[in-house]
Amino acid sequence: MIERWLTAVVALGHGTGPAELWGASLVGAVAYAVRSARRAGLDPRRAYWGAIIALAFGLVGGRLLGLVVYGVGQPLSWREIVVGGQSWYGGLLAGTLAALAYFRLCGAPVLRFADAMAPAGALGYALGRLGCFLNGDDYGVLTHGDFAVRYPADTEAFVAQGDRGLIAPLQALSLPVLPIQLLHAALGLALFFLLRRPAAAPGQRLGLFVLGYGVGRFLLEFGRGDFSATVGRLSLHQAISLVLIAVGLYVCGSRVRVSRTRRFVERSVEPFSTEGQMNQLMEIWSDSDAHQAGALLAGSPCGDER
Amino acid sequence: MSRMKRGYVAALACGALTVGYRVVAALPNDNYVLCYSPAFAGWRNFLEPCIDGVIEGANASNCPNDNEGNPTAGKPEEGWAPSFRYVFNRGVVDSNNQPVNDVVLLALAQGDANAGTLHLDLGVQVKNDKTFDNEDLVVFVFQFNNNRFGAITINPISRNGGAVLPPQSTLVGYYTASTVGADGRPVWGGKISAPNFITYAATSSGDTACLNGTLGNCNWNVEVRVNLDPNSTNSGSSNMPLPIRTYFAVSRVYHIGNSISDNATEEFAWPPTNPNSVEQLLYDNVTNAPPPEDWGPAVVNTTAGCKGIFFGPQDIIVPALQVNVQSQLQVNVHSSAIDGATGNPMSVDVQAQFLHAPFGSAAFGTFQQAGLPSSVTTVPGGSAGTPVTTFFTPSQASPHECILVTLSSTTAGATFINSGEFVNTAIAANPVGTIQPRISMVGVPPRADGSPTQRVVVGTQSRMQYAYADGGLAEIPAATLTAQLNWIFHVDRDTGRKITIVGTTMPVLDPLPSYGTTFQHPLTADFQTAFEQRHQQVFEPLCRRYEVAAATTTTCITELKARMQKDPMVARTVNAVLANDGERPDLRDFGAEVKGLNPVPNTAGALYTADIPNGGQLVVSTSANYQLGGKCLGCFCWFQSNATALIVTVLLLAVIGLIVYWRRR
Repeated sequence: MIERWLTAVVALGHGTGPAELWGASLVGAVAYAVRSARRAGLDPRRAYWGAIIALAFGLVGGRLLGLVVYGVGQPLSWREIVVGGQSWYGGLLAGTLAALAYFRLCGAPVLRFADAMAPAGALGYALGRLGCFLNGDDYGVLTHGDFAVRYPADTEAFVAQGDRGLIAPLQALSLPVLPIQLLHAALGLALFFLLRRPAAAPGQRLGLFVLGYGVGRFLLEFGRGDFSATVGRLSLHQAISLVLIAVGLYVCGSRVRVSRTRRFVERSVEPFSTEGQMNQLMEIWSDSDAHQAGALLAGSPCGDER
Repeated sequence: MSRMKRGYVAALACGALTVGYRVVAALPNDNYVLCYSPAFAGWRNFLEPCIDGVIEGANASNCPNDNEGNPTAGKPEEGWAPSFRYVFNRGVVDSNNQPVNDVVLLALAQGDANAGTLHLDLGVQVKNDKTFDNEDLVVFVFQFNNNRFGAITINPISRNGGAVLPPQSTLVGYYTASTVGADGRPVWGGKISAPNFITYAATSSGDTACLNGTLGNCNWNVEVRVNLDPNSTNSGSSNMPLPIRTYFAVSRVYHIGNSISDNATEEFAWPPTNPNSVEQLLYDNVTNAPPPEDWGPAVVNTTAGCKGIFFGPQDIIVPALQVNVQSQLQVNVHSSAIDGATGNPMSVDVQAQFLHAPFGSAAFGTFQQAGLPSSVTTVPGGSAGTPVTTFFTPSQASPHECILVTLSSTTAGATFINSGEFVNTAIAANPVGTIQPRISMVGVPPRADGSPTQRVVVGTQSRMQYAYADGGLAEIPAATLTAQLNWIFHVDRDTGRKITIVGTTMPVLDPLPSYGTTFQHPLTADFQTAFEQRHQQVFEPLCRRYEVAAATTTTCITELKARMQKDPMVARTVNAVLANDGERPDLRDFGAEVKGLNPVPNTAGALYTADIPNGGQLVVSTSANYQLGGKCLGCFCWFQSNATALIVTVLLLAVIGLIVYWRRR
């Protein structure tokens, strides 16, 4: 029954649904990033441009990794470079690094902005993966279970099965595959709700996002129908996930130390009584170089927001 | 040279050859192989020959559905269309350019040996007899192994009434032999009347002179069915064993004097080069049959080792037909025919009859004549494909047709391994090609359970490759590289019967004719150039094969394409090589749709079903489209799925920016 429903949903939404969901993921992520920044007492304009820069670089990075993952045709055309498919990891890494670099160059509190925007990234990821589900890319392994979906002929899932000789070309539907994209979306939603909780220390949300996504992505890769062992027995995405997990553990570990320091300071230093003042102190401690650099960047892209 | 002159010269040449045969020293007759051709899968749904004595002409009343056709349309009986055919002819044609044959021998194997249903169908057309005579005789002699023989004799004609109707068992004899005499001939036993494993019927037609003793224009036909049993004891009561050699003879008796009893006979024997010519004469017994070493090998249910004219579906060239536009239909006729006496290659004059039916899966009853019969074309012995053509102007709405071709010959001794074949493929040149095949239940027997509808199961098969246009399509110049999709549909009919095999009961499906289509889409010049550069190693052997004198690979390809523009066969040869090439059109670039059929669950669309009323037909609108660089893979393929969404997204992001700045102020 579930397979029939999911297949019907794909059949209905396969045409224009993916692009609409991808658009919704970008708009939703930017809107939530601005809202989250405003609520955290951060400059929403800076958050907006940080999000826009993250999107721009994310799309470029996603496409570059997409060229690696999906391959290129012969001959390679500019059109193919520009309009081809994206790889989430490429977008995530490039977008995050670009946004962090922007905030750092602007002298903004990098980790606080990162914390504010982390849930937005998770929300965008969840919505985007729903688009992938309708589009039939990043599909799951073959399954005999009822939690399955069958894709029409012009989808990546269908093409891959045809290439492997599992089905004859020009059939109506693919064989049933695990709707792994929905599990990805569930991961994004779980991270979104998890990251909405206040951070105990600046950068904690970012660390949790990186760690949680790395762990979830590493596990979900085993359910991917296009799993390809390229780094030993691991896929490229799993290898990147391991790096992310390490980074996430480091960031979370360092934030725990900061959090303990914060609690110590709270108990010891009375004048810093408000949360905003405390956060500023923590930011200075954890991000002092950025602050000093930002102060030196007169005439930077940040303009009067410097 | 006028037609009459050609016939005269041919008759002279034939006579000279015949004289030559008589003086040739005794030769084994292994050059003559009587092929009881199998009825291949595509023909299985066509009815078997109805044993009613009618091979051409109006349907007999007891076989209303056997589609013996309209002789004015040149339509053969459905069941005999795919058969082995041997023509006794004196090399002449009539004023309508139709062959004037003496005797035509037809042979076909049907049924399944494992199921105990294997049987031979034998047909004899005797033409241009001068009188009807009680002595007119057909003889079939078989060898089963070294010392086992059987013979069938039939006297089907009454002097005063033509064919004896209804068939009388007393006119059929069966003989057995289990020993060989000192002269090498079988020692025949007595006549066994009307064995149960033989079914026969005869018909005749002619003017009154055939009956009153003067000389007329008389024709008669005999159809025989012989049930086989490989393990038979050849007793005359059980089925006949499988033959390994065959001898066949017809005595065509007529009056050479004023008395009706003043008879003589013409003898038509197969193999025709029996050196013991006197011993070919057979009247009402088989004792004068030549020794078995003079008989021809018999091949049952296969064509292996057969010699003669043959062709297959791939040899039927059908352009993209357009309504009310004249198109050329072509069949490439192959020949392994040899002169039985010398074993040398033998030229055969061939005429093709083209028939058409609505594109799809049609029974034989829906075929009609397509254009006039072709002109007589000489097919040299050893020919790898001599084109025989006619012109056809479709007049119905569907421009795609199922084309059936049957061959006949004016050449004496012409042997056809198979004389009929059909093809169901249409070619569409457009990026979006739509065909309207029909699955027809006209002439198909009803289900065993008496259901008012027929259930068909349609399996699909497809293949993509890069291929050069051969010039058959007006829309695509020859030698243009195309992305080609070949899409074939195999149609089975549920008979309503069930069979249990190893404890599993399953429905029995009857294969109907398949149909298919080929979509071609021309590619850009840039792609074509790049493709050819990537495939230099593929083209170089082809240049050597066609002896293209080229200094470089580029000139080789250029010259090869120039030849493709002149000769479609060159393009087809290149395409056959490209069919095995690893680079093929991207599956993402093709889209397809099938309407009217229901996908079978859990078969990934490989199977479809449909219910069609008895005698009805179903139009299955089938379309395919092509777009180079069609679908991109991965997420965020904006431009492929919905560029509007991208624009809206950008606008919404801009709106968010405006709101951010507006609220700040």
